[in-house]
Amino acid sequence: MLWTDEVTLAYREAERTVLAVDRVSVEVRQGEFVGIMGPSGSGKSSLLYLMSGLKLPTSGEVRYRNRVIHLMSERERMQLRRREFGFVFQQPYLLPYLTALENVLVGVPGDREAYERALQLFEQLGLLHLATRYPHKLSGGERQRVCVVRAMVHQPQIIFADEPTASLDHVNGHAVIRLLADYREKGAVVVVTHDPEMLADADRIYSLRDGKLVQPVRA
Amino acid sequence: MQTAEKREAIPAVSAASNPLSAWLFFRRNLSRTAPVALVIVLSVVLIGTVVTIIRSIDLTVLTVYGYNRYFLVAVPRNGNQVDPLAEQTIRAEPLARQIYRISVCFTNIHTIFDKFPFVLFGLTQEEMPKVLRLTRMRLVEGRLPREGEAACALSVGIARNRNLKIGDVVLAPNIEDSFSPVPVKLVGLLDGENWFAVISKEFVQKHYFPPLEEIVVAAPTPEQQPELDRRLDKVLDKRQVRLFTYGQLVRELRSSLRNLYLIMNIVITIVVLVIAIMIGMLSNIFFMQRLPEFALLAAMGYTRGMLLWRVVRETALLVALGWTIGVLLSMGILWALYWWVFEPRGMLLQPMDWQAYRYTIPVPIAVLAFAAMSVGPRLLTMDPVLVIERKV
Repeated sequence: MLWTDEVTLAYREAERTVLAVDRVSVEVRQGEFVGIMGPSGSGKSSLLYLMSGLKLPTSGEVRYRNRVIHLMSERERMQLRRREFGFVFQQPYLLPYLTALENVLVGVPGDREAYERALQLFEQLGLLHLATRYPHKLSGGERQRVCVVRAMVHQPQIIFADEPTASLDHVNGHAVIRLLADYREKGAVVVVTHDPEMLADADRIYSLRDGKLVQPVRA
Repeated sequence: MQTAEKREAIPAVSAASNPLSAWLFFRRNLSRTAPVALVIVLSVVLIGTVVTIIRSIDLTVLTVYGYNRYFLVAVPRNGNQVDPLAEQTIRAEPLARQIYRISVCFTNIHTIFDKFPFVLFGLTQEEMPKVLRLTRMRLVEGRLPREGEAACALSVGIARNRNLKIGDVVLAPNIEDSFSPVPVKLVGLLDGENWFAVISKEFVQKHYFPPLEEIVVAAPTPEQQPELDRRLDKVLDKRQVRLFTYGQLVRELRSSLRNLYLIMNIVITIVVLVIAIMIGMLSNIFFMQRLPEFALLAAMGYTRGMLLWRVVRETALLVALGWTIGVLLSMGILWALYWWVFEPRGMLLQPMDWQAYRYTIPVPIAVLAFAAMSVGPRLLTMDPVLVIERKV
């Protein structure tokens, strides 16, 4: 479904070149829950940005359904992210002037089916009572769960989650991971985390250190 | 609460509405949008009201002296009467349908800027009804002055302007700007589309020195009057006679107001620029505060063009609302001024002067342009990942 082939991301810092990601090859298959682990600064978030087309590789390539992402036009990449990918970030950022439900719908404005799906997801996750609340009335865990619903509502092929549990307590962290893991029935999920406990249910885990793939922890 | 009830509690409008609509943003962010809209409202009110009041000079002059559309006045330069040769030339003109030899005296009317002199046309008993018909005036109260009587009939507007009623003294020896050797009373009120005043020709000739006699010349129709004015202007010797025509009045008015309008345009340009720069800077600050929002949307797949279009739509709504409220508020203020200040004093003002409101149109356009110019480049160079790594 999606794989990287010797992908590298380099950037200049002062007078030296830093390899945030160094010739990394990973694979994500349909229906998989894939974890990317590593200590802080190991390049796991950069790898996620490369895989999702948010950043373009310095060398190597990222392929999604046999299309090389960096060879796509800016517009095609945007469409890919909008239609086929979903994102959950470390900080559960919601637009402060929109309700939880409206936040979920920002990627699919005016889409009646998406609205119904959003309500169903809220219902399934026991969040329906939060639908009309504004972000400042939600706890961190509730906000992150709303962010997960936002990432799911357009039924993407892959959800990319960058440290989705970092700002949550243990209970909320597990609840969010469970939500994401369950999505593999509909697509694939890639989760970046430094907490191995969160990846207990992962189908495949990659470990990074200093931008390099150490070894598949679980293949 | 049961699930079904909870679902029903969610407003159905959410389904159809666009969470990223400009109107929703405006409504939900009033602490940001209202002050900006208020600045636009105030600038539109400032420009709209000032320009309307300045343009009331035009309106005043063209209404007060509007009778000149129906005839020209030939005034002698070298004596008490128009030169006989010049009069012959006038009478020989085929378009000169009505010709009256008149005598005049003056009063003053109040305007917001200064006192304007106003002519009282000294006419004979026979001429008065004819000249009133010619100038489309009618007697609405009282009567016309009798032959040799120290009396006059004025337009309702003039009477209101001077705070006069029938029986009051209009001209008198002790009124400096409305002098007459004998007190002249108001005996009749006229109404029509212009302002006009008549007095007995015999009275003027008897009491004013020197007893000037001028000639009023009217074309068969008001539409032909400009042509008659042009022809007589061409053939008459200006050393002998001076012509007062409507065209000349308009030209002189435009010429004398040119500098005033120039200053007004400079002030408006400065106001527009200051407001536009100020709001452009505010937009920039607001944009920086909303950077995580735009970065998130960009990460989710919104193109920079879509995001820029969103900013433009939000700003366009803001300036459109600000401008509309500004224009409506200006009209309200001007109507209040008109009813409570101008009208009771017989002064002229047009609260619905669309030409004046045209001067406010650069405000929304400049604000929109400056906001787009200040936010656009930042949006186009924004790296969503950098913002996300820092804040989201």
